[in-house]
Amino acid sequence: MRKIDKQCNLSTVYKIWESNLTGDHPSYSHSTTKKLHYNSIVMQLLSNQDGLCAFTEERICPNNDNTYSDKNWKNGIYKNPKPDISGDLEHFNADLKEKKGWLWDNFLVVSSFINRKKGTKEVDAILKPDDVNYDASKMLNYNPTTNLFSPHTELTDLEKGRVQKMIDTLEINNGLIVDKRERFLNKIFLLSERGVDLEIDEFPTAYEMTSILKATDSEGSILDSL
Amino acid sequence: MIIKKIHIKNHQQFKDLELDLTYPAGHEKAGEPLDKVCFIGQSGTGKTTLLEEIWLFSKRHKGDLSESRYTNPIDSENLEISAHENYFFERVNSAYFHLQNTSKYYNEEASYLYDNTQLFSLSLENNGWENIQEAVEKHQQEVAKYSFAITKAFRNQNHQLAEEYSKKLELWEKENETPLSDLAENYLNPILKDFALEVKTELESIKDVNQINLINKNLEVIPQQFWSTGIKNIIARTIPLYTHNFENSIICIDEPETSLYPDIQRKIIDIYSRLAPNNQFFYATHSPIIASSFEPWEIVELKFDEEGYVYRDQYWEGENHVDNYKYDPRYLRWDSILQNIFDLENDGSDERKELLQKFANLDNKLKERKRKGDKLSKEDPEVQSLMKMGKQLGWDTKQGNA
Repeated sequence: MRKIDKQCNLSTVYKIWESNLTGDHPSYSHSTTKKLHYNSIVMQLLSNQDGLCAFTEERICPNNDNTYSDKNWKNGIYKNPKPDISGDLEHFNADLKEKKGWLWDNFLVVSSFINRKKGTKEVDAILKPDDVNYDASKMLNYNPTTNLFSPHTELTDLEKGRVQKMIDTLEINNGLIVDKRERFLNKIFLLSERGVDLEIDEFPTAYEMTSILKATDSEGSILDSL
Repeated sequence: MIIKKIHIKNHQQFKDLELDLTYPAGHEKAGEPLDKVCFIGQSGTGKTTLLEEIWLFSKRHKGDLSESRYTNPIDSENLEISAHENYFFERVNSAYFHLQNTSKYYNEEASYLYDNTQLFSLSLENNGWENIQEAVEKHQQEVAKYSFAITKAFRNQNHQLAEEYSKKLELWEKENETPLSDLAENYLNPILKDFALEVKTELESIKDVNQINLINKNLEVIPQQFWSTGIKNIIARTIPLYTHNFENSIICIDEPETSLYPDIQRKIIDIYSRLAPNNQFFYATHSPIIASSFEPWEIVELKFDEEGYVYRDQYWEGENHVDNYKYDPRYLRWDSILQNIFDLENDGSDERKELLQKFANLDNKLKERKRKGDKLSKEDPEVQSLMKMGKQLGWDTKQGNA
């Protein structure tokens, strides 16, 4: 789960409206508000997230050059029909949905499947991808043997417990994701070894962490080196 | 093949469900109805209902059913089944194999809806065995003619003639295999060998023709009451498929995996297809191994949406073209089929998932210790703990090759 630079430079109509909200927000399910802002928020976030699920880095929006381009925006609103995506707008902290349902800081776009799995589980900002202090390389290790993310070995035991809980909550190691991640990385590294470099358009964090381990010849389990 | 589309407008869990049952673009049979279809999906999604409707559709088109005898699961106003335009339904037969249902269609002409209790008598009396019996008897009569001629020649001291007849008999037997031998060698024995059994093809008495007999490695006949349920199921389906010479027919088989060990499940769809080529098969299954016998466009996965209605999970992205399918069960590992086709989230139990995470965490910790200069040995308690976990996960020490 990489850091997301959550600028709101395209969906300006929504951002101005949101910045001016005071007190409780209008209901998140209010149809007029949703009609006006929903697509713009989703497309702005997908632009920030490069079309990937904010938690699992699975691709949820086609990687098309035109999808996020300025051409699709007019006067701060996404003007074209939203592309066919397999993701939903996610309230990171579900407790804020009722009274602060339109809060920019609480929005991310995640895979619809992950969105359903996560539901309204309690969250901890220690693993919030758009948090200013979040740094994937300090919070997570990737284990290519199991294709699982783990709390970083340098964290305190308390922090490790918090991070592990969030790995579970955000479904980063969901079995279906692990299976996809494994197949994707196998393909990438297999072709790379044969001189064919493909675009890393999914699971970039697992790819980067595995590449670093490969560079030091330590991608295998410690058991392999005994 | 016959049926190419099913549209259920509004019936219980179905609401405007449209199933295209033709080969996709890019396939050599693009646009033609599929040779075989496999319905999968959670219990209650309507797989068996669809099989029954398909079977009744073909029966009704042929005029075999009267409305009063059979009740369709779905009323006709809400169901539309489209057939290949060149199809003549007066030529279409149908068979329905269901081993765990009630006997509501029991003994209905030209259908094979068996229930468990009736299975055995049906398998001997009503499954087409008499066709094999007749052919075998004719075969034996022909052999008897040669034998008589040989014996006569010997009695007349004409050894040369006896020798000629013997050679003729040998040649004739080579050219005229009994249907029993064909059924045994090409279809049943490849499965039965996994049970250490084979079909008895040496006919010694009338008993060997009255029914199918299975023998063990010691050539002892295994009485039918000792056959396993799996063997009974295979025999009950195989004999009618072999003897009825189905052609251009619709054959529905519910839960073909019932009581079969995985290695036999892997073979069974191919055997049924070879037993009755040029027919359209419809299966319903819960088995990933059965699903691995199908091309991805032959699988119709039914799922419930959030409102409880059934929809078809689409396996292709963009245009319905052979190149755009996400998964092909023929090439996936069993756990990948379970995860990607049958929607199981993990590659094993919850306990395995938990242990994998513990393994990953400890493995990373040990790598960090090594990076910092610790000399790790097999005696190190943490290394031992990791090795134990690796063993529990079914891995060698070189676990990456697991």
